[in-house]
Amino acid sequence: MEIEVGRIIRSSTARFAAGCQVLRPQVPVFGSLVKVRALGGEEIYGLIYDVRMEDDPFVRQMAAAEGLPAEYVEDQRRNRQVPIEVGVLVVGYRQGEVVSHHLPPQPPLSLDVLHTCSSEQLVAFTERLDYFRLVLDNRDLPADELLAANLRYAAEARGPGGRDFLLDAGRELARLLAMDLPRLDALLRRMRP
Amino acid sequence: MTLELNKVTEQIDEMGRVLAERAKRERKVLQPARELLRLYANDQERLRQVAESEPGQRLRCASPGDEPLDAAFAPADMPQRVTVIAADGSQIYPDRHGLAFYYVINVGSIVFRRGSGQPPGVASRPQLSYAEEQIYPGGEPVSSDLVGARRGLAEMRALADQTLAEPAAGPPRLGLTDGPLLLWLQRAQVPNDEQARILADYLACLDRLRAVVVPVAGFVSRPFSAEVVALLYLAHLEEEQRQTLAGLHDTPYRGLTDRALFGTLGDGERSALFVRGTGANREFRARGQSIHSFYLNTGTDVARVEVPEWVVQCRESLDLVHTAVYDQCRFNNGYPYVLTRADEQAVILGEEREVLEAMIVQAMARHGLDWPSLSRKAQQKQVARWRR
Repeated sequence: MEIEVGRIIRSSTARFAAGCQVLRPQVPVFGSLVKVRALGGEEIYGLIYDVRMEDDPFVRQMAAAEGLPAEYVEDQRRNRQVPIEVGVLVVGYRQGEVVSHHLPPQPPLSLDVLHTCSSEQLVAFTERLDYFRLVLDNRDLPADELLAANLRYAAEARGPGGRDFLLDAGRELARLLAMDLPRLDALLRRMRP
Repeated sequence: MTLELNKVTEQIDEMGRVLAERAKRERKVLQPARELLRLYANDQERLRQVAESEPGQRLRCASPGDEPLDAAFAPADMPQRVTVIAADGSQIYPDRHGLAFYYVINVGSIVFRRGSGQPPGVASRPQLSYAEEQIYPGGEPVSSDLVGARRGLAEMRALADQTLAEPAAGPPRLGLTDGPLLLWLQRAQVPNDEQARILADYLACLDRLRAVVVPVAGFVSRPFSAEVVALLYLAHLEEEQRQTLAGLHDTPYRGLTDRALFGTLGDGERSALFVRGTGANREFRARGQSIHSFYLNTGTDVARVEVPEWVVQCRESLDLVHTAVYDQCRFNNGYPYVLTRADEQAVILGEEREVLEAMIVQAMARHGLDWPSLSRKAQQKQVARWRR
């Protein structure tokens, strides 16, 4: 099932940000695969690496109030235009039936709608593991946490085949991080369901 | 930088000194004033006569009700459910140097169902005024004062409409507006027939609320008024001295405010009720809408709350105003939450005004008008201020 996450507010070919009004139980989730349609018709895929609530002095003041009644909380959450910002790292795109694990030719436009990917789409995207490098190279992000979370979701989506998938992913990571064994060790531990 | 701050440093220092001296003088007369309040606490009848005398009218003295003047009343218990409705407005003033001669009034409102656990309903009503009868009343260009008065009326209309739209069988309702309940009319700048029309429409809104006894109140933050101080000062003078007194500015009590006088109120307490002394109250009184007020310790400040006489006459309504307004202040730093939110709905930001003006320009061009431009004066100001 695809769920609308929010709309694009800022974008580049490598990363973009979307704004959404409220947090719901399943959306947005750190490490989940999301997609947005670009101008050329291709579907850009990304991983949610950050969910941030913008600072607001009004909310800050209310947070300090003792015994705040529910109506005030609901007003701040639902009525005030203080969007939750979702950071997305681009990990590939799909043109027709072909899924590529490299950066798309163009970023999405502002106000394009960002959706979650279904389990089938997540399984299809993670058939190949070439996008690992696009994640691991971002040292300014919690890249290892991000990839580990994504791999756990991808394994879960495969049901009984999830264990074999994680073994394949572990082998690919061992190849990519052969020169950094402490990092590899920590990442492999995080992949455990 | 055009304001050369180095040239005002001495003036700033002098200003600090003068303000400190003034505060010292006001502190010095505060205790004597509070003693007068205690002295005359139960002398309401005599003080009413003082307020209604010619010097009392001249000094715009407040007139006491039946409560002891120095009384402090704790808020009643807060009902489990109360619906508080608030409206506030903002405007874009007409500018003859702008792209077109028009003005905008935007009224924001909120329906806050306290005790429901539900998010409140919020709305805004923008109204663009460009028709000739709106912008050239009586053949003259509309003034900012008139736009301000029309805004006051629009706020009260929205407040009455929203308040009366709430079910009568539901929780008790309260309408709240920012600022005095007395309509502000800067008479010199508003044509007489227009003044009469606005005032009649405004009072008609209050009449609608009175008909169903739904209380309405105005909340005045940091009031500067000294109507009770003036009453006390006048009352302690001999009759002869009263006749020659031009105003408080000639006395040691100049600068002392009612807000300071009632600084002894405890958290949530309200003062005794007074009838507003300003001349604008005469027309309200004639319609049975005389405006009364009390001072309220909101928890962090002392504010003035204004209510019409029919709210004062119904103890239940008065208690609801006192309790619900204080409750609104408890979670918002001593200022009613609904008024903060109504203002947030109403305010027109600079960027929004720019977008609106771009849309107006496009609409004018689409209908065959030459591309409008700013006046030469406004253009040259923009050219000179490009860096800012």
